[in-house]
Amino acid sequence: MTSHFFNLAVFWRVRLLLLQGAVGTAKLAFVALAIALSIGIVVFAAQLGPWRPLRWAAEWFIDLMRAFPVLVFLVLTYYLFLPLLQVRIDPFAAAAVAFGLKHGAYFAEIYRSAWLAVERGQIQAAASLGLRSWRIAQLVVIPQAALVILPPLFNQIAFLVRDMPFAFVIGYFELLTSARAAEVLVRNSTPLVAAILIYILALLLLQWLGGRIEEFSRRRLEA
Amino acid sequence: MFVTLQLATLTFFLAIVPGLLIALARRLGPRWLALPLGAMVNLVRCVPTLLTVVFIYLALPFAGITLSAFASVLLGTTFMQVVFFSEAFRGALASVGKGQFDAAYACGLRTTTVLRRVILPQAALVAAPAFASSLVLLVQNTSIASAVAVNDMIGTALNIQTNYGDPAPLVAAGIGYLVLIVPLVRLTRRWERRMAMAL
Repeated sequence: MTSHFFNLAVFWRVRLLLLQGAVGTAKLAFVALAIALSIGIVVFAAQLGPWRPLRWAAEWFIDLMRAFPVLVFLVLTYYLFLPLLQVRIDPFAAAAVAFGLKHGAYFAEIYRSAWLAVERGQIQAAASLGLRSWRIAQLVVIPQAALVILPPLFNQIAFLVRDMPFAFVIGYFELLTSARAAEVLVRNSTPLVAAILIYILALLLLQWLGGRIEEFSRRRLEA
Repeated sequence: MFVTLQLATLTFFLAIVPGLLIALARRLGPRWLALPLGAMVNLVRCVPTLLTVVFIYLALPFAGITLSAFASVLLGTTFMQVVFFSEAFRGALASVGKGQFDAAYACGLRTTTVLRRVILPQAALVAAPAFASSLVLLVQNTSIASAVAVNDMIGTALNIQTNYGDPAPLVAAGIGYLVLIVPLVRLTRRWERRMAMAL
């Protein structure tokens, strides 16, 4: 039983393959995160702006992204949207764009809730002192919003990492792809168990870090 | 479409009662039950749903348990959904003050009565947005079926795309998911707004 699910010798044989997959996952996670954070800012800015159609479009963008299953959106991006736009790209770029768009919508919502958490009166007070809107953002909103934003931001990063295995559906070489390849190679489930353990470890780490950050920001907010 | 709906409905009914029980056990149960349950929920939440399904489908046969693709998906999504539901319910239960329990007990009500008449009506209100968004997740997760060769909505469309190069079914599948899920998302949005106003 253990020899099929937790076989150290087998694990040692496939270690490089798994490592390659883990590196692929990490690379994708970082690029997707960077795209998602930026798209979140763009969508959030559109929601703040005075132009009504743009606000409406941002709200629908967020709802559509929330509605699409990750797997479906990934497949549609790779096989449909990008070919329609006459862009020919590899699975890595397609996955990064798809995860970036999908999670960007969630990040926009997180930015917005932090913005709403800053008291309106403070912004009005700063405006009546004659501060420009950029200075208001810099001096009043961002220092306070940053504390509110950290815990949900971290939570969302964990969700993003948890979505990574879906990239195997469009043939990107990440941890799950490598684990399945290794499983076929050695006719043993250890690689798959190892992949699951690696994900659990990474996400527990993120969860722990998130907990610490939440504690930190709660202390700072109370002070 | 039919397989997708079937999976979603089955998962919903199989997962909701254990999810509620776990949440209740973590709130009301003795420590030796609540602590390990909490640790387990935290651990399971860390596993990507896709990996759970793939593990059940590809690794369990080595242990002599061979399930059909459909059963693997159902088992995997149900297992994860129990945890997601239990988290939604736990958050809602936590929002009902401890004094409510004490007061109800002091009135001489039995635990089941306390739950039914005092706690759950209040918790249900708070649980609504989280519950709706875990429903969204449930329907979305059925798409995992395509990854292990069940012909659900997206799986069928993908097959046609790769075999015939015809993207029309993909478009249809995309629209199909939107038709299923967009109403849920709009509902979540409205409930979230209402909660924000009530607080």
